[in-house]
Amino acid sequence: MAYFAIGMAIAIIGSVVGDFLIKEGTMKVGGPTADSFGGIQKLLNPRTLFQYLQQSGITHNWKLWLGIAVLAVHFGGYLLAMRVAAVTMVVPLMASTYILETILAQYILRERVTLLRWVGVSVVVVGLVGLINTR
Amino acid sequence: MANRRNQSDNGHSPADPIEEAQRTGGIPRGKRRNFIISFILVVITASSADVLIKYSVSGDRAFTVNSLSDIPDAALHMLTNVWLILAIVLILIQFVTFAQALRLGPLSFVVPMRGACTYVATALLAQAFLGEEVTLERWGAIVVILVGVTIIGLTGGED
Repeated sequence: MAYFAIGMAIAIIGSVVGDFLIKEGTMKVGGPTADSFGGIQKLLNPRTLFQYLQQSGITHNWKLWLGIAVLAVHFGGYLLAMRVAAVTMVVPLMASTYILETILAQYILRERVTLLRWVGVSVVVVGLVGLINTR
Repeated sequence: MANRRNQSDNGHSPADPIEEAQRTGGIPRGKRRNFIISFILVVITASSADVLIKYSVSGDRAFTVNSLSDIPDAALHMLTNVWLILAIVLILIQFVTFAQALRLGPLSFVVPMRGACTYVATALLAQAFLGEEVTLERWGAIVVILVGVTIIGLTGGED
């Protein structure tokens, strides 16, 4: 049980923090976002991929690399949780990231969070409490 | 159709289908099949990756971490695990196909639908291949979480 709680906590916090850092990092280098993703073919070609990496200054982007490292730690926690708990427990529990993201957006990033989003978060909380109490 | 072609011949080139769809919030005409294929691939890769991850740490493939000093050994043990490597490959394919789906379809549809389809597909695969028992209560809890995630998705989300 302790393994499960520790693993799950690392997985959830790592996912939110890692995604946040990668998002910050990619915003700084300006790519590849969903809009500019005409670049899939470019990213799959080693030659253009190398050009892209050079131009984007990705090698000096500490936020991006830290984000990737945090995601690796997240994956370790995910494995730890998976080792002791069922897939149908671990996977839906990852929806807790939405709660953490919303709190992060409202209180740390000072973004405007709509009431509807809080309603959604509340429903997720109800579902998660129910999930934890199922066998 | 013929009218359309005439217009473009006259120099009134039609708008880029992807731009047009982003403006109207729909899926670009002629890109629907592409979108559906990428979306299905996202769901298949995401759900089978999670089932493979569970399989990779089940039975004698499990690792033990009793203290922090066990972590390097455990990491090495897991990184040489074929099932886990396969899962990581699937996750990478999922990233690429998800980006493709996001390019073709509206975010507020793709993100909650990915959640919904992936949770259900993962539960079904876990039942079929891992012999996991999914009780009615657990299905109920999963559905409630899905409703919440869908509401969050409707707000546009910064995900």
